[in-house]
Amino acid sequence: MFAKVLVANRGEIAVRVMRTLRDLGISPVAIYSEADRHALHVRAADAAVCVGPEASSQSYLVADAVLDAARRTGASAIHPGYGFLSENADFARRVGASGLTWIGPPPDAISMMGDKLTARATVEAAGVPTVPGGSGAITDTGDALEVARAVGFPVMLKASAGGGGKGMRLVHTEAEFGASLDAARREAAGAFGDDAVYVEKFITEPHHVEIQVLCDAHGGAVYIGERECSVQRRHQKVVEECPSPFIDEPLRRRMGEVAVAAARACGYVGAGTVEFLVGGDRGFYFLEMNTRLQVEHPVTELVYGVDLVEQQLRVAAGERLGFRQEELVPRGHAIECRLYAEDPETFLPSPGRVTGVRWPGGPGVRVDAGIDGHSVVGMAYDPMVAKVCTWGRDRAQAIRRMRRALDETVILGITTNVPLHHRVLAHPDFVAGRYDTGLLGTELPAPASADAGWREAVTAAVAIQRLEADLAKANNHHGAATPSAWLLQGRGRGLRGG
Amino acid sequence: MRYTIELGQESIAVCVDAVGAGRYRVRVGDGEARVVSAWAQAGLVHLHTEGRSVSVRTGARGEGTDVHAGGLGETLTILDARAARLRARRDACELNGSGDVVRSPMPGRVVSVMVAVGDTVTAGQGVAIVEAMKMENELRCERAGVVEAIHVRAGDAVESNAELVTLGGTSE
Repeated sequence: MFAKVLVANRGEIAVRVMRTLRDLGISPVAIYSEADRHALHVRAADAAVCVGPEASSQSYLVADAVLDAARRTGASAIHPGYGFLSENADFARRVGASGLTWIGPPPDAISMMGDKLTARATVEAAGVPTVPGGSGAITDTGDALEVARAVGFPVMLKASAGGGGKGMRLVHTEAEFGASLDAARREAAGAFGDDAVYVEKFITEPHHVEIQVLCDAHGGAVYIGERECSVQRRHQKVVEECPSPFIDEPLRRRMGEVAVAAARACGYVGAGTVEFLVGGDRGFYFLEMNTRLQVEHPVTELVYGVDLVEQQLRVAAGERLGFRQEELVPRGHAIECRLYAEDPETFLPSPGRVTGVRWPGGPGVRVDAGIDGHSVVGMAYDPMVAKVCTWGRDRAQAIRRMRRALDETVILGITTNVPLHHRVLAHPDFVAGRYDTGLLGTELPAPASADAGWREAVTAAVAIQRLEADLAKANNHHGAATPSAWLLQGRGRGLRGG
Repeated sequence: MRYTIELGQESIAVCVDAVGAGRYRVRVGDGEARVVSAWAQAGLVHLHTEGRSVSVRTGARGEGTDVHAGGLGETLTILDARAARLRARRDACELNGSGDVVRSPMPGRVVSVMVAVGDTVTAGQGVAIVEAMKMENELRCERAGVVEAIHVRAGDAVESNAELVTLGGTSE
């Protein structure tokens, strides 16, 4: 195993990876931008190297700076986390060429799965079902319409080079096809510098379900259950759970086997995630493979009792998988709520100085946070500040524990989306486990609001706190470095007019 | 001591005096004066009175204070008598001003300004796009009117609460 590992990331995922490093007796090394000098992930490390100014394009994304940091600190391996350089095949190659170990899949697997069209062709050849539609990038409007007619409306237009919802358009009828295609291509060109798009059949009552896979370098490969990720806003996941209330054991096994086939098709090694779209009829279709650790990996860890980061490290160190497929049995239910520094109503970001934090705890609660009560949430980085996960013996207990955990969660100084999570957890369709990706588009239960008793208690509390502060200040202004209790008492009384 | 607490649209007068042994006489708004037992620390006030226990966490947010109790959070502003007078005077001036101002609710970078001076806008219409935390956010005006002034250009960095666009007149 490694003695020292550099974590090429920031925020909650860097902190989370470092925790497992410490569990294994490995010394964690952080990298940071100038704005992150005292960030939580830097404080969690034994050593840290500055890789550039605040903008991630000049710091966390600069391969030379990251490699140099590893050299200077004597780290023998690099864990990329998610985002940033994690799916950059060239960087992965350079890590290997520098004599360091890349804690991730082979660079060729990253490139193969990184391009949507290549990925689709690769997995189709391995018998993995994909969404019916054109398998080639389309630049001619007539060709595109032909494909759309063949698969039948409604259809989805997607950017070949894209992700994150940019360049995506849902088209209901042939009449609106031309205008939507133009818009999708404009958006794709603006976002990715490439206006190639493709046409897919639109799946009704769609569920976003992903399978966790883990492969070693000796041909061993398993799937570790699924995650239901259908609570999304603008294609950004908000709440995830494991297992999916929508997937039964036979379907889980079929999807798992198909996911392993997809991983084998690209020569995968390490932890990866195969994303599927599952229709209301339980037909499932390959979407893409994420060749890295996933944000929502903790729900899988809670239900399967596996530390995925530990497994990544063991696989990268050349070990064989320590378990067989039949030993991976789900136990109970886990839910994750992503806490974003954003307004729960307007979704506008809310960066700023955090002036108080209390995380939830107790039975079945796990918190992966990138901030504490001494953090500044900058505007240059992703607004996700923490993930709160709960585990229960069944889904109902996991939901009850999540409500309690969210009530316990206090983040002061910035606005977070905690109230949105309360509304999702109170939604009858969510509680019943009957929802698809349309859930956040439906009417949510009203947010909790402060009643008269709450307002009276809070205003009284703040006034008392202010009074004590004013009294202390008045006393200090009277000069004595450490005034005696007698003086304080007297002055306090004088100030109160008594 | 008398304080004014601004919470949402409300302005609440609170009178509070220490009566010894961690006890305070408090009167909130038009309510009755009550004596409560409280433990006030930096960041935390524990109200513990008549068998009822309420924990209130507090933290600064700019000029204001974030409060959290029982799973609910709000931002309020507490003012002493002098600050309350100044605030009232300033509000009176703003009411006499030429019109509403669309401000950036967060620090960021102006991507584009979607209106020009003289444009008629409707309530809820987008007037500017500000990028922050890798997201583009469309900022809208609260009421209808005519654009009187534009204070930023595409590419400008703006602070939280920065003025973007001033509206004049009320077009119908």
